[in-house]
Amino acid sequence: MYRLLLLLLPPQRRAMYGAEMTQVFGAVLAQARREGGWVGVLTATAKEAFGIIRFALRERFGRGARMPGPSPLGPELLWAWRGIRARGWTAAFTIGLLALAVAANGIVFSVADALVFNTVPYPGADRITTFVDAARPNGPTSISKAAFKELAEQSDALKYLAAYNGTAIFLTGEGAAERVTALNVTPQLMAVLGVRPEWGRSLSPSDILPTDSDAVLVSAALATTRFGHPAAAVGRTLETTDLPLRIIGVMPADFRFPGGREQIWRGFDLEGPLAKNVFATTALGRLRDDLTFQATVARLATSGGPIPRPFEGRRSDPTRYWALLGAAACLLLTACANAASVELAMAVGRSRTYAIQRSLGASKWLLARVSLIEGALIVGAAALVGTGVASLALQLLASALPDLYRTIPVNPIDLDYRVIAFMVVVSVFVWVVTTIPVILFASAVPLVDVLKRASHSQAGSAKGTWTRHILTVTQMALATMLLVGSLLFTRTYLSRINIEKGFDSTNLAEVSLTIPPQLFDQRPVVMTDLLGRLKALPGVEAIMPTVPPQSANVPSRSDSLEIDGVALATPKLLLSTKTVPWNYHDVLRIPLRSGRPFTIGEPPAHVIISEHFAKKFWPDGAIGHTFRESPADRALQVIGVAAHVRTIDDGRTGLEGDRFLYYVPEQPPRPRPSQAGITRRTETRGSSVTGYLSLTIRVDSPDRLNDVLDVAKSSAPKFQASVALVDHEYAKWEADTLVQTQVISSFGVLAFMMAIAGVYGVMAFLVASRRRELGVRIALGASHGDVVSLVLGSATRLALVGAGLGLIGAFVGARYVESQLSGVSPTDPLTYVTVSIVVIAGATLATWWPARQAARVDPAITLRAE
Amino acid sequence: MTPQVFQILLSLADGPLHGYAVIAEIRERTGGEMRLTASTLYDALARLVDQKLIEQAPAVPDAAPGDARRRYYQLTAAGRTAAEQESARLARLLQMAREKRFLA
Repeated sequence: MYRLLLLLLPPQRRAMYGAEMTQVFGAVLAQARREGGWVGVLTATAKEAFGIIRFALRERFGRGARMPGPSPLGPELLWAWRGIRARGWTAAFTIGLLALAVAANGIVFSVADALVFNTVPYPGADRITTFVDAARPNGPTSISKAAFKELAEQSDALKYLAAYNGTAIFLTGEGAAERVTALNVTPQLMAVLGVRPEWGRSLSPSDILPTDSDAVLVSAALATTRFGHPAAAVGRTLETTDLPLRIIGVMPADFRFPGGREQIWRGFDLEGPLAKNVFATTALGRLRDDLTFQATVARLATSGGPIPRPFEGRRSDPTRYWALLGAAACLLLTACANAASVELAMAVGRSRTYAIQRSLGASKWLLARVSLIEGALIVGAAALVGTGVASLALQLLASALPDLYRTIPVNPIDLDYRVIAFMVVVSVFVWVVTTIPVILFASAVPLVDVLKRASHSQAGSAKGTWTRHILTVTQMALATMLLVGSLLFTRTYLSRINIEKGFDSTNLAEVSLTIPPQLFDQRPVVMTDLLGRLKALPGVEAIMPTVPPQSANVPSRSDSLEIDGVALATPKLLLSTKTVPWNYHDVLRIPLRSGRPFTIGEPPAHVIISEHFAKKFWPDGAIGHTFRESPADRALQVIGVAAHVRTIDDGRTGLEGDRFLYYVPEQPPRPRPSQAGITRRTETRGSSVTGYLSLTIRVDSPDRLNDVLDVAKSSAPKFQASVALVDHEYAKWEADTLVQTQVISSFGVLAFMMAIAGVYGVMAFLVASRRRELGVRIALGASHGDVVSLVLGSATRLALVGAGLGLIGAFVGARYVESQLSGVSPTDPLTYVTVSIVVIAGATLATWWPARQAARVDPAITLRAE
Repeated sequence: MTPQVFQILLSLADGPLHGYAVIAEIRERTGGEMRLTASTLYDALARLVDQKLIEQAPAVPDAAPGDARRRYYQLTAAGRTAAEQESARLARLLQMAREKRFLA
């Protein structure tokens, strides 16, 4: 980039000082980085770019000019302002175009900055490591309890080691009852992260000894809400539906771990009661000061235990953001090329004015200065508008994000100083790129030639036309690349949301009520009442008192499985159980591969199994066979084999969803009335008791869901009720892909429109500049069709070259985003052919009007003017 | 003479310096008040060389290793005179400011 800027200097100056300047600039940047970090670097870069342009202008246009120093720009500013006003709507168009591109870049950069570039704000985050199971090195960063214990025993390999599991806590007592997202953590977690509570103290091993309360650290926000001030919270107690929580410390206000939603970090022992249902945990370690990451890996490798992985504290795949940044940069370049093209057309149109000004004594340097100021005013206005747009868009985005990014540490996504500095650099770049062609042109206006030429041939030099051709081809190429990207991502998204779920999700919804702890007793009554009232509602096709199958069960490892009475030699298997109402398969329309569904009063020993389960043990037919999880359990008889149901977690968590699953019929006379139709989903995740009441309903149209919600609210006014379409829940998990697709597609469409406008501009300009030549052709007998095809031909050549270059660019670029695509190949011929056709057709259409104008040239009028 | 140019001449008063050393010397001496960028420096250096106020120094005997690519600059006699004249002008200016009690 710096070398490119140096090209602005005259060759002899560049030869004399170029190498030295590069070296000195490097040293200045290093100094700026030490003193001011990012901001310093960006400020120094912007100053340097400005300085080089000034140096170059003085060298090229102002021989013997003054020494560097401030110079009054009053009259130039006025002339520049007049120049902008004279442009009328084209100035507004250019500002709008550039503002859009600057805003797009600002938004994408700030999101990427918050989520990718700016890793988690823990001191020495590069010395934190997480772990994966040795058997699944590419699997999730969770390990078994046993593996963690093994790791803890190798205490000399790591400085600190901690484990954590997500949970939820229902707070009662002071203030309103509230469900809070929390984390069960072992005492060393904060030491691993290198963070200390701002008030109170951190967890210590004695805090997790069994007592009548649990020691917790809480967020500053929670402490303020509950006790007025964080300092007032230390030593206080929070009542919950489980054991009370004893607050021993309050974390700093900007502390987040592992996501942005956790408010309580409760000390727990992986061997204690809170971890009773915990099968796997996430481990974090801090490297010993004297060991590198590789040395730690080597030391731990000998044991065959969990493998360390660098803790990135961010989405594992930054390709997503690189793809978005690339798309935003393409859009910016397209906008710049378009604006430069418009600017150049204006300058070419004004070449006579320039020539007259020169002949009246204005220096080249003065003309260049006025053009520079005009450019600065336009780009400055665009930057202001763009910043406003980006700021608004980010506020909207920030309110939409928590659902998407709940599992990662969310840095605030806003226009912070880094983003502002980035946008300043982008604006300077835009200014340089769009103004330089004009300055070069203005300084090279052939004085006498232009004045001698007649008015109709003022359309400019071959050089100006040639530059505009290059700018148009660039726009076409960039638009083609973006369009290919748009299509690839759209097809990826469609293929992801239309994937076979294994059940019919059409108009299927979950009705759920969050139950305040003091109303737990009312659950069975509310459930019975709600079921009755919903069944009576018109449009309700089916209903059952359990959750839809979007979330996988946490499987348990079965160590002593018996198949047909024979214990397995290698019995370890991840087995899931689902207790379901008798009509479960019927309501969800899960196809049965063989056997029959449950009926009312089905004996508890009858089960339906998943097809993977059946294939593994009874490939020739599972019906009638028996199994049991351990010798202590009763034998279960297979009466049906159901299709595999794809849960949201399939392929994401490494748990492989419910591959080996068996359904057990729910029994009418339940041992405890409170169990009736209640799914205590969080209980299986090792948390304290929080209550939900959920049921699944199928309606004839999504419009009915408002009625369903009204009924749910009226039958339990004190419960929080919500209704969600199952399809929406699945789509939510693809929401980030959707956002990415929408962003890239809108960039693609915008760039395409800009490119088409560019083609139109060039062709209209060409026709205007060739009126005389066209007049001569027509006078010599060229037909209407000949002229149209002449103009169309030159546009098509531009479009073909642009599209060709764009396709090559897309072909190369698509390989880098291959990991982001699914259901479509990065070199999908259909996509490439479609885009080529669209681009060439668009360019031809854009040329149609100029071509018609060309054919209507009246040779008599044109030649008489000569 | 602009403040930047005067500062560059001042920084070369004690002997030859290379480009970055000029920037660093000025930054240090002015307590960070004046920070030249590479382009401002070379813009000024190029002109000072053209006006024969400074010149490229012959090889510097105690140059650090890796300095081979660096070019050192030193004051010419004309440069020294120009700096002295500018200093005298500034001194007269200061004297006037004192007389009018703008300065203690």
